[in-house]
Amino acid sequence: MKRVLIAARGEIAIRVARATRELGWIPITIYADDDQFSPHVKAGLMSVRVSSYTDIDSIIDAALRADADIVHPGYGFLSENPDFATRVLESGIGWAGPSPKAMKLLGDKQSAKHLAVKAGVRTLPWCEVKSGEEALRCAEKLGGRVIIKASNAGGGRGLRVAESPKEAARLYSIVAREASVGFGGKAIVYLEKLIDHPRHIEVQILGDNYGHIVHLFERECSVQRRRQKIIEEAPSPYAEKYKDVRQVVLESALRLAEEAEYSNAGTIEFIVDPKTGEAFFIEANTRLQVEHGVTELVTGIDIVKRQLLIADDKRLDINQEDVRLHGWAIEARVYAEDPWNNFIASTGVLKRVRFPESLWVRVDHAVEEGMRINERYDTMIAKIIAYGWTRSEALERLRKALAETVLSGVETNLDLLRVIVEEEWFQKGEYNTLTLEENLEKLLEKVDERRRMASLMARKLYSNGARRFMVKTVGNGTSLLGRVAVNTHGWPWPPTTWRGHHFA
Amino acid sequence: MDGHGRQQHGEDTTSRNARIIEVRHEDAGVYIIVFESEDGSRSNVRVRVEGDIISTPFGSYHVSELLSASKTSKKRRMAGKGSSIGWLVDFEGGVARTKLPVKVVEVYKKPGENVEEGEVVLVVETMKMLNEVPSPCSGVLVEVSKSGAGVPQGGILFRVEC
Repeated sequence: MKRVLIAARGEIAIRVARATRELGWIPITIYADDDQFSPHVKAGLMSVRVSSYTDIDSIIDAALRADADIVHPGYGFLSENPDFATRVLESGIGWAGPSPKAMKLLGDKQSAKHLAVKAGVRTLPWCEVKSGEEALRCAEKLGGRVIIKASNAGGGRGLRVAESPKEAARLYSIVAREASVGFGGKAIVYLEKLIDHPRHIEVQILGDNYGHIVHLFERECSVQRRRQKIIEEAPSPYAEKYKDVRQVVLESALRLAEEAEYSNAGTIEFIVDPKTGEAFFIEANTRLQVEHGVTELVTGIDIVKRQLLIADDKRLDINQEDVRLHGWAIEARVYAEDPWNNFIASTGVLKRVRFPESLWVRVDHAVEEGMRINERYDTMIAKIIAYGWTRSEALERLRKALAETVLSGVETNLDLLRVIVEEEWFQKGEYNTLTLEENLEKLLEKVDERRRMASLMARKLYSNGARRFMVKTVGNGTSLLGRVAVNTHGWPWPPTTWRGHHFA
Repeated sequence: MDGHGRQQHGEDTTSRNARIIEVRHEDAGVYIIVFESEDGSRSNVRVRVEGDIISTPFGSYHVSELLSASKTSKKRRMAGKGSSIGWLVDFEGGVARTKLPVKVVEVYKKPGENVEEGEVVLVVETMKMLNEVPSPCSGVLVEVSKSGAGVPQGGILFRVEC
């Protein structure tokens, strides 16, 4: 029986705790002082207090006190920090992630690019710059629009797009400073050619400590807002249409992972120029990703469980030919963000929470009614993942699942998601990383109109003046003539065909 | 619309400025609401009341979400529009006030200098993100906070004489 310390919070901590329990092992969670009543804390057999989720010393101390055999970092926080991984391993504890060496090689965008060149994987033309003047010259050389990145950029930070060489010079200083403010330490800044309206396709890889590496096919995450992923799907509609693109990204990802002697779970990200079908490696994520669930559904492989087994030095029990694609999965991320106020984080107490319950819908979340959404942490409330044999079936299930979901008390992007999945470009799978932003204004207007109509209806039905319409309602249900309609289901109950039947 | 008040594929039931002209009680908690749009066309929307949750063809809502007036007001809609810095900085006259506590990391302009509309005056940091704050108008910069200074919520970042 292994003891697994989960150095994360929220839904991913619960996800890892489940996998741990399935193995018959013991999950141990951690909590910060302002987070001790969050649902993830209870997912562990016990939970240890830490000073913060990013305090390495405190977490190592917690792992030692809890007598942990393995540390799983989840995603975010310290999951991609090679120093943390090193400290864990030096403390004699297993690490559910790649070796610190591979993390450094692939995690740093710049060294990852050098490695890609070595492995014969295509990358975007780029140059390293150390001053605004160098940035100017480099931008002139690359031509067109360029992207300015810090090698340790992430989450939209340390990253800007310049339209002209002059702008590149000005933005250089901002990116350089942002990199040092946000992450500490010196970062390399580089310029890269910008691909117009690209698609974002990534490959999930899984490797053990004995050099056996497999890919679990690709995911597409092109529905983004300012580089924040909103909807992801597996497989990619683009790669499904152009099988040679799939071939290229899968082979490139494997070559790169082998070159880095990668172990455990990781993701190799590419951007694809939809006009030419060329795929360029952009970066690698040396951790479990938020959107791993769609890959799990279409391959049937429990990635988190494999991560734990690999950390326990077990051999990977999957050969490449065992990995097949079955059906389609689409994930929508619900964020506590206010779409009417530039997506600023929304805080408040969740008054009512209802998630869809279905065989075909997986909901990963860590919220409950009465819980306060804390602005200090990630604003993601839930991942709603629908599965289907075909893309249209998965899409239909996602639409229904989103319609059944209720989250009140904070502003969310739920209405926006409902509108996105009905858009023609989404239904056809013809979108790129800018489609959402370009259509945002129009989509929000649609949301507004739907909200307005729903409000009018609610006023009619719930206001005091409208009592003559109303049946008796209480918190969780409605009753008429002693018959009860409950709201714990997302569909009408009793069904409308009940009239004419006799109920005992 | 199918029999359960759910929207069918491709069916757009929203219509601009439609108003309710009739509410029909159909079944236990099930209502047919008749909307009439400006051009006189009518559409039926079937909703279901399940306690404090209302299921509409547009999705399910908790009533509290729909009864609070702020949700659909035009004012809120406008908040997201305008300049890309509007979420962080309030411009009134020539005064730039921050809506969140920020730290000034770099100041490009000195008091007394001329600034163009849209020209970046200073860079502030909040939530580990750097944001360039442009001048709302062309004029003379009268007052500007110092580099490295922390500015509390509602504090003045700079003032431009337009």
